[in-house]
Amino acid sequence: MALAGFFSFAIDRQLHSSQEAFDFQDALFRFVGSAKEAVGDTLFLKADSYYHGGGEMHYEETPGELEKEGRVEHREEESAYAEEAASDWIAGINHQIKSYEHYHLAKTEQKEMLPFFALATSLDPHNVEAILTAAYWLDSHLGKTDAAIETLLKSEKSNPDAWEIDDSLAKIYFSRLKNYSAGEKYFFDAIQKAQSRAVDEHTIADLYFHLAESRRLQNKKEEALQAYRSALAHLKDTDPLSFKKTVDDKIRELSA
Amino acid sequence: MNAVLAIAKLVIKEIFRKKDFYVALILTGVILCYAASLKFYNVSNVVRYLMEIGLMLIFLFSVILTAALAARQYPSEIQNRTIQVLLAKPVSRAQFVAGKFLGAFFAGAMCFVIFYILFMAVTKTKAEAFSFVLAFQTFYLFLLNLLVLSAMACGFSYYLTTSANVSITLVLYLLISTYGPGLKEASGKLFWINRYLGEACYYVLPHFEFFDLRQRFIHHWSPLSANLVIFLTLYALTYASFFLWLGWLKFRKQIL
Repeated sequence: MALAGFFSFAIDRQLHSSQEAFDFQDALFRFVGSAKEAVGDTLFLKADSYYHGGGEMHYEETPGELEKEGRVEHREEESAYAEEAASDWIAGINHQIKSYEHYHLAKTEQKEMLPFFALATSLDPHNVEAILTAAYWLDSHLGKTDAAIETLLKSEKSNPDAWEIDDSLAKIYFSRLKNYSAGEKYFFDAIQKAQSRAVDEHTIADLYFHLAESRRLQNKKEEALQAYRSALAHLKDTDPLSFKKTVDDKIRELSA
Repeated sequence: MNAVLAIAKLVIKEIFRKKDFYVALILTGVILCYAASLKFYNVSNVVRYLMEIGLMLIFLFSVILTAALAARQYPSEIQNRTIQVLLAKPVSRAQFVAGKFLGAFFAGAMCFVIFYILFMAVTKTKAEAFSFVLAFQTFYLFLLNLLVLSAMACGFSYYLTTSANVSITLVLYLLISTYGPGLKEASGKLFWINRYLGEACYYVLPHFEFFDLRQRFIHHWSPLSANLVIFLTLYALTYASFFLWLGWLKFRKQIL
């Protein structure tokens, strides 16, 4: 018995030493098991609810409305909720207790969404929308560009075919860090991946345009010209004329 | 009144003699401290997730402890054959019912007070500011919640065995807390008698979600009006009296 006990301890120690250090993610994975993707997706929705002051959003918001801080009015929807509240006294009290209005988190409070982004992207590393949203908030609103890049690079390994991740990385390097060579690399990767999937022509034209811009800003005239022409080739008659004109102007400027 | 208080005192002593409360307290403390120590993307003072976890834990543990304590009072007196001894003293059956209920309620409330102090202490280390009025309203309304819950478990204990009572009380509590507000709308889609049954449940069962102010507290909404708090107090007292009357109705003529 003593010998069996000794061996079991020895085997147990070996088993544990071969595992990676126990961390928060391990604990979560052990707790939620194979449901981790579903839990991750729920936590991503929770981040959205936090942005709207804990309320559940039932209606679409335009990008302009989404950028607003504080109270945002949606008169039609809010009057519909008021009607629902008036239907009986129980609903009326519930509408007074749970807030069915909503506000957008102020700049100083937007960090409150971070735990849910961190958990959602850890639990479901294939949820590209959650990864992009986390990176967007980290970079654009919370001044954590390094963390945004780290999140995107980490998730690129789990989603090697997602052109959106390369696009986000490229835009951070291009617009925020003014690192045009890194921007060029990621725009190029994004185009390769986007072309192998059914991505619309306008998006591909936009990616080519940004690739061309990255090259132009590095004084790679010939390569930039080539990318501008590719952008133009992907533009259709339905695309805005202003975009087409901008590309034309750039080509004319470089060709001169 | 002295007889009622004497019975209540015995019940209060019981909860602190058993290990359940201490296990829940240690578990809450460990989880809260661990959650408070987490850092997401190196951003400090992120607090709402901690409040959400903390309030969920203390609400859950308080409900389980209170329901279990209230449900086992009468059946254990019968099982241990101590009820005859107790009723041989100048204690009426109504005083017995009231004493058991008050004991269960105050014991549950004391556990909740200790949990709430721990929660506030941990939250205060991270929170920059929060509304004390809402902190108090959240605390007070949850006490009302425990009042109705302990009365319900006490009332049911004269009809059901301990395990059946705990299960039914907790299932009803969780279902009403979660689906209570949408019960009427959901039963509208049901066929004939099911629809009437659904609507009857909606109007007859106590709406525990009335006493849950977590969303307001965590997301910094405005406090409830005094009139609404008074109404909710009366609502809780009405339901508590109803459940106790239900228990007394069975117990008053029961042959022991």
